[in-house]
Amino acid sequence: MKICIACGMPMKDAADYAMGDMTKEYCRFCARPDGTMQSFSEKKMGLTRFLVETQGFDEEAAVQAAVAMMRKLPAWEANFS
Amino acid sequence: MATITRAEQKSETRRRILDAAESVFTEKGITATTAEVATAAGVSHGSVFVHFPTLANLLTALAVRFGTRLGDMLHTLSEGNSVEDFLYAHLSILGEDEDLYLFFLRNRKLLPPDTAADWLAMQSETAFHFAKMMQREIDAGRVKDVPVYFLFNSWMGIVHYYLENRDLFAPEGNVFARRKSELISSYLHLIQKEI
Repeated sequence: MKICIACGMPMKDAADYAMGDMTKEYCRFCARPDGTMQSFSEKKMGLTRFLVETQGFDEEAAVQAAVAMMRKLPAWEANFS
Repeated sequence: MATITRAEQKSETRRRILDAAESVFTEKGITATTAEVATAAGVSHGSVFVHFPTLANLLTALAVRFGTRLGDMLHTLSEGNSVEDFLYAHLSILGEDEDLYLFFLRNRKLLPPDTAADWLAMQSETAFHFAKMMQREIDAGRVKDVPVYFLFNSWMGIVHYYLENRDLFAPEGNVFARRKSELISSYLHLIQKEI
């Protein structure tokens, strides 16, 4: 089982992968409609929105939390070096 | 007789260190040392550093091990199962590791940033599955139309309150083993629509 390089989600079935393509390293939530992986800023914005919607965090606290989580993921290594 | 490979031995030592770390940190708190973990695991202090070069690595591995178990279970359950099954599974997993969960809950702000990020990722994964399930129930008219984050925070508020005060709710030990059914049925009564 692979872990999405962009958000850390475990990918178990084809449906979890971007475009259902199990050769990809990222999940459906980290893909753009054309199947390419979202950029750092797109993912940061998406993750922030997700934290606000699912846990009700303060907007700025959610941005900080999103960045802290992204810092640990292989897809964004270059953004923190 | 089966021969234990070097990789298997390494993996077994790692597991022993993690098991010992779980006991030591939950008993002694965040100020426990890696030397105490080594003694409890029956390995040299150096061996702990080989597997976990920093205290943050060790705490993070504990958080990830717990989070993976929880995430795997909730991933399976959020799709077609009932809210009751989901909440039951949530409390069952927390109940298996109440001490460790309480340790992270109480020390979240004191954790190394790396570990805190993993703990938050674990809670966020729970929130993700919870929201997916609750939105499905709201759309089907079975759960009141309350923001999903509030449904999640209400549930977590109850869970954490009972855990933080388990000496009052279940002095004999495991609060979720004793109170699980009551917590779930009362919470469902609060959020479900009268049909």
